[in-house]
Amino acid sequence: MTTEIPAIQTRNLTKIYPGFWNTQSVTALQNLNLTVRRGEIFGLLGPNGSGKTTTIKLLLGLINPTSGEADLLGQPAGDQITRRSIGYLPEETYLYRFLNARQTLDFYGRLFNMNRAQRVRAIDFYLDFVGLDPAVRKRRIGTYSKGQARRVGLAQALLNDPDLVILDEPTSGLDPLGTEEMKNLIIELKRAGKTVLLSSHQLADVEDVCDRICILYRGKLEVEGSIDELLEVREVFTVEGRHVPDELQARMVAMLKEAGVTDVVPGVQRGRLADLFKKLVLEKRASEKSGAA
Amino acid sequence: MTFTLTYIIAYSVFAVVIVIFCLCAWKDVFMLFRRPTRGMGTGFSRIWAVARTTVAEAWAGRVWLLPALWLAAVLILMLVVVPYDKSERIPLYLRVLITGQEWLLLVMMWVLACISFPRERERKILVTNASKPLSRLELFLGKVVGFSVTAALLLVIMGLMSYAIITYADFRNRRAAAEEYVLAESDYQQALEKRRQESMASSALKLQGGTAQKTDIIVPSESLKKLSEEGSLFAYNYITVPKKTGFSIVGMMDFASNPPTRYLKGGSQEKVIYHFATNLTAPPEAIFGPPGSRPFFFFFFPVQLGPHPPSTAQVNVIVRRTKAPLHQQEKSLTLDSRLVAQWEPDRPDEIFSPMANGKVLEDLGPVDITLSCPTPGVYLNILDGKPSGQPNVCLVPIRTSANAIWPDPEPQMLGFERRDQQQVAGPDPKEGGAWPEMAVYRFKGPDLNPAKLPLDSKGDFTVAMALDIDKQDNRELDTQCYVRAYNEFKPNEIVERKFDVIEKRVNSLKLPSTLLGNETDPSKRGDVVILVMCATPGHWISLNEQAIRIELPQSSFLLNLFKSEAVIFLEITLLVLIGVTCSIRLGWPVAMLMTGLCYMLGNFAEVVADWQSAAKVFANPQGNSGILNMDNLQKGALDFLGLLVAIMPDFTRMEPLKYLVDLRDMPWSYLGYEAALVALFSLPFIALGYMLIRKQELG
Repeated sequence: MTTEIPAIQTRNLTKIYPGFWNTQSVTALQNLNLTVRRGEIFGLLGPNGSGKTTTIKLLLGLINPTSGEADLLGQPAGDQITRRSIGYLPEETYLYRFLNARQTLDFYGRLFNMNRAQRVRAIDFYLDFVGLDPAVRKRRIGTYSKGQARRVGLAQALLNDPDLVILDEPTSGLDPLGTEEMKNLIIELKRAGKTVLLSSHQLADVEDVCDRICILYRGKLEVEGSIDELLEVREVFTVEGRHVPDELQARMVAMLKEAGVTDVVPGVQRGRLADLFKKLVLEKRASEKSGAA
Repeated sequence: MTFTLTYIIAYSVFAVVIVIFCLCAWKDVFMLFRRPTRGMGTGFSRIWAVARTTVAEAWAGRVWLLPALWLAAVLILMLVVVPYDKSERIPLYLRVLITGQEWLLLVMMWVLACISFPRERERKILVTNASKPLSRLELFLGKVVGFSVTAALLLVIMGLMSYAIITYADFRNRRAAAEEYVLAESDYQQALEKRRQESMASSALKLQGGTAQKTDIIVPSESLKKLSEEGSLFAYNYITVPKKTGFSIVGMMDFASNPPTRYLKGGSQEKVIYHFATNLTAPPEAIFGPPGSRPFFFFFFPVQLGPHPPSTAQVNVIVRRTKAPLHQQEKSLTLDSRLVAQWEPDRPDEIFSPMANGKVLEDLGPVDITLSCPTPGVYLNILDGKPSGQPNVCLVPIRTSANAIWPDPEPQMLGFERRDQQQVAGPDPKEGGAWPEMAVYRFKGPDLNPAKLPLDSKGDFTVAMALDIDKQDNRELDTQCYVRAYNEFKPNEIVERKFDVIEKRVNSLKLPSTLLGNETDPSKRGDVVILVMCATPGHWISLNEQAIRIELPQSSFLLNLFKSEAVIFLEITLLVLIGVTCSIRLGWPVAMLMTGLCYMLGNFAEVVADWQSAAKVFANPQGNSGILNMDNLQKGALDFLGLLVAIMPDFTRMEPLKYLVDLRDMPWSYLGYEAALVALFSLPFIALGYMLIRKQELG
């Protein structure tokens, strides 16, 4: 029996940004223990400054951990060979402004040591895939709208057909239609067997696509689990059924009331991710305030 | 800190940096050579990918405007600065074109190299790039290669434009020279005709007791004719004499002795320089002892020629430390009846390095003794000081000791110096049958392989002579050059030639290949000695050690031009490397400042060495006063500066114009040396750059 190697695993991952002469240092991430299984869509959530982007940068080896370890696809974070199997879309589109879409993807294709035929094929495919208007493909990226640049950014993240895709705010700058396309795309990636690490503030989108999520607050992991587990409201009993006659519904409500059940609300009951997120953040802030007082 | 110690420390720093690099970067270096799968590229293809993008970045920054700007600037300069002498036009144009390229590109690449990394860091493009399978080493090298390729592209463009400009300028120059020559020739013919008529008229006038006017006759310049025929687009190849030992100016040469001996002419501007390569050492008690017990120089001239009695000959002596040329002591001495003179310098501590228990306590560096003879008509025999004999001068450190210090063999003899050239005077009518002054060129036998020298159908090889002339009297006459040549193993088989000097052009002289010795064993060939004299009274011939050379086939001018461009390329590559290294962790303004500072220090090697020597000269040697503390502080600062300079690449060695403006072919060995120098200094900077970027946080 073999144990499957997780796509991402962190062990006590900590990042402290030192200040001047080690004063005013900032703890961006504290003892993060996280496991992302292969083939799942994992949401990385948290308010601004909670350490989401720091986590991603640590995973990619762009910054160095203060302590702890992180493995991606079974190899230490930042490993050059492993980066061949990773696609990364940064929170903003950081691309050369003087290159056009094709030249940009050609450059990144070269970094993946793709030969000419592979590059041409992949560039055409992914530019179509992200839906970049063919009319703008030969214009410099500096002249693109935010949405167009975002599509090129996404194309560069997928160019190497990665096993693990890290998407930092993928829907930022996209119109509702583009957002919908992006969500469909993420689901497509899961179907293709890819692992997706998604960091986003668009909680509705995350809720729609993610299998599991975690919420970070001030660099600490507060919640981790599957969407269904986390959003379940245990004190509320729900019965779902099709074509329940109104009369029967009324009887059931009456029976429940007779039995002393309170707050009987007929219909489907489900919590919102946004509520959970807000509740958690507000509670934390309130406890911080009372602690400070 | 001595000069050598400074360089030992500098190279140790290099070695340490490179060793650390090898320890840290072995994995990244390995990845450079690794192919992920068959048919795919290595790390070098990723470097090239980054380099291509860097070239695109420079191009997007309108770097292509540079050749146009350069062209406009040099065309204006070339229109404004027009030398009167046509033969100097092409070298001057080359100077303008190449210097313009060098400076514009240096400044442009300096700016680009320092800006690129900080800008990518600021725009976070590095975040996207570094998330790809691209190592930091590849990223760093890609930037350097990219800017170097940009510089190379621009150099090729500007080089081809230079070639087109120079070809056109040469065409115009030749046409102008031809027209001028035709005019001069016609004037000359008219003047001759007029002179003929005048002489007929004057003979008629003489009969009547009157005098007639004489029309000046100006002979058309042969150099003009040669310029119109040959142009200037070629690259000479030749063998020259060794710089110091191969060239001398002598008052007279005695061929009766074997080998022929050299004489210094009294009353002339001739001088002989004895070089002491090692320190002149003496015990401190002798140096600081009372007069009469100090170290002294001993001069001995066993043979003299000339009309005056030998013992009246005077010699003027100058002792000079080579590292502090301003610091010198002079003395005029009279040779006694034994043809000997002694001199105990007044300030021995400024010349002699104190030595105790076999250790040199203070290194004052090598010393030169320059000696001249002011007594007219005297000829002093200059001994070569080879193992068979003794030289004319030695130092006696202690009077009781016989351990004299000898100078290097074969002292250098020089004559009247003018504009970096030596002059040999033509025969002086006032001196009657005096021996003429001569320039001696000694070509090393091992360099003269008869199989490699081009011989003509008569079996002669060509000696090229670039001579300048100076006419004091007899201005209407052409300057005649008299040449004697022999092989040192056959000094009596002398070949003689006489020809009119064509000024500012290369005069070609054919000499028989029998002079070369025709031996396959280089040691048996023997040196070829060529003596050059001025045969026209009142004229002088100016020459230097490069003036007489044995010709090899000419090379392509275009190739030579691109060799010079290659030197600029190497210089820029080094600057780009420093710029990119500095910009890894610094913002662009500071990176530019640092790079500029490195470039300045790299141009300061000689200046700092001079400062260090000067500091030694003016340092307070005795003291325990406050001045000493200041001296030590100053010395320490200079030592530190010297160390910094030693660590920096020596940019003064990169001389793209060195051969080109003389229309000489740049030897591949010179280019190779420059490339090796760049490689030597690149390694520590690559190592340093890698160390800086290795753990840099790019987020």
